[in-house]
Amino acid sequence: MKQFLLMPEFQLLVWALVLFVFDAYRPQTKPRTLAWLGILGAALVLGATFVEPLTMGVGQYFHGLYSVDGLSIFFKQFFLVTLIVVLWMSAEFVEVLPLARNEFLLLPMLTTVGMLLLASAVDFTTMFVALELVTISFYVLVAYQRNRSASLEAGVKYLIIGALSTGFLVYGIAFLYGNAGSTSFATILETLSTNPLNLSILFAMALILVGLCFKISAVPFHIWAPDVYQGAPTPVTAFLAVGSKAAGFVVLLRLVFFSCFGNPVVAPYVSSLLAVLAGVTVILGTFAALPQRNLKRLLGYSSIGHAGFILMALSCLSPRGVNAVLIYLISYLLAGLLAFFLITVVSKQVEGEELVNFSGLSKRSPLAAFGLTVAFVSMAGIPPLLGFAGKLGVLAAAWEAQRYVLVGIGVIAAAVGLYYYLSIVRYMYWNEAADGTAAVKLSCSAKWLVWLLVAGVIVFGIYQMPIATVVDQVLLGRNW
Amino acid sequence: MEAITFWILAIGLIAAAWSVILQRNPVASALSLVAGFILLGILFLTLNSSFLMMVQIIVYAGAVMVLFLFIIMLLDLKTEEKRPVPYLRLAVALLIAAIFGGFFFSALQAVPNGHKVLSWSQPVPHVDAGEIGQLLFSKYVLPFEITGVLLLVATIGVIVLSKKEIK
Repeated sequence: MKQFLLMPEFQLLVWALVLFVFDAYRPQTKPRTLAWLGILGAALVLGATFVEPLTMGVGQYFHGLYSVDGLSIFFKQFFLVTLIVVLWMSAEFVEVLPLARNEFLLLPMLTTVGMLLLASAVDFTTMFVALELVTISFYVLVAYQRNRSASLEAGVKYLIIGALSTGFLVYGIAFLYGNAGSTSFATILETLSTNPLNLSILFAMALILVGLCFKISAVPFHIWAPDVYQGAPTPVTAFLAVGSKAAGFVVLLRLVFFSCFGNPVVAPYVSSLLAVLAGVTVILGTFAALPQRNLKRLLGYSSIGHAGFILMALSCLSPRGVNAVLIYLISYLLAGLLAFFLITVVSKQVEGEELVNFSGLSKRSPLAAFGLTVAFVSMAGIPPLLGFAGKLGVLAAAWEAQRYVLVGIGVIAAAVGLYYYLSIVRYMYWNEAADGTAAVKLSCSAKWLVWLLVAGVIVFGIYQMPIATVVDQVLLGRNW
Repeated sequence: MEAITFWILAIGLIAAAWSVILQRNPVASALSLVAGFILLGILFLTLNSSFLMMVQIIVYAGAVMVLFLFIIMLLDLKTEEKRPVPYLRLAVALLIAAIFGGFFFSALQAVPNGHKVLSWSQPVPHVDAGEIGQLLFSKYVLPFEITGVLLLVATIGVIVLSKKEIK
């Protein structure tokens, strides 16, 4: 019982349930109030994660189903920050929804409960249940705007593809269990290292990898991403792009280093396979983004490209690679959420998410245009900003692992990315506004968040000590 | 004896599964699915898992199927029209299924003691509801509780997505 009370998952869950009951008895509560209460709760839990090693203690709990370690704490903080920004974003967005506005603010909290648990999962049972919690709440969130056919289409596509990927995953887990006789990550690694490999184990690993590739939208399992990203409500798109993707990567990290994929015989092949996937993903994500004229769809493709870069770092199977994965995720968290936040606020007022709607934005709202520019310049990887540190880390890790072809692909993709990111900036600053020149207004709280995220991208880009310290904490005391 | 039971059940199951897809009337499809669920339940029984059988019958053949039939009746689905068979697509689908099936069988053979998995020479330990309950509330209490949250999310989601517009 004491363990339950100390778990961030449980604390957030209780807060969410209290808010659900509160909302049921006071239906006239303004969505904005509810969003602030949610943010307050998430911030408190975030604070608690910093003392988690002291209160709960590093180690394994629940008969080896749940782990508290550097990796889990890092990702819990990552998901909680994402939740805070997504709730902030939803508070701006929620007036667009015709009904059930309050639930739109509370469901992401339950999704985050799943993500937090996923960060700690060291057993396939916990991992699977947590992943399903995340996926099923996303089915609902993606289809939330029932009055828009695009949202419904995205919901159906995500449902079908999600169910398919879950099928692959659970099939693979069943085969792995049949071979190793256990669902624990560590026991599986141990059993597989002492017994000879056979076809069924490889089959299981392939199925699990396919299931996870759907979640992180790696090519060739990316087909759902652009449509779903475009159709979903913008805060949900942001949550999918940052939260759901990171959730896939934390599972992949654990499996690659502490479970089946870490088997010394298989590891070199896994590394090459991931490298090939990374290369193809980066190329497709970058080049397919070029002709896009819808901003959300463009960011959908660019997020495929970012997933490719993270996979590239992961495929090195080295501490430097893990370091690059984490830094890249942080840079994508800040820049990605900043971009999606401003798209939410602006597209509500210009009534469209096409690039044309954003032309001349610099005159209509200088702050929004500046914020979007910072986000895109960071994603493109231009030096003083945090995105540069992310890309540089990935390329350095790939260079160290002697994957020169990947480095070449990465450099070319970064250059091409520069072209389309800067073309958005050109629309905002040099093109004339197409429809009306009325000022785009940002609410006071929106301005605060924009300045916070912009400051994060710029300050951490120049002064990287805090991030480096956090990431080193994760890597410390683990034999990667 | 067990072998004969197995083969009868297996062939029945495959026939029921085919029938689900091939029937043009949705109600007939759903009823074939019920037959499949019940046969699968009996198969669990031959594996000494009486609890699993009960769950299979109550949850799938009972609750899930009633829901299916209910929805089919509500939507008033008509019998599907006959369409020309897309031979090319069918061929590709069969090819992929054959490759996957081949992998599946060779993988099953490769499982340690796989020949025992495939045969019925080994007695299967009996597992009753009490043991499963004990495990769920001791070792697996965390995933069990999270499954509760999962169901809550699904319930809220269904209500939100099907709510009538309030004017």
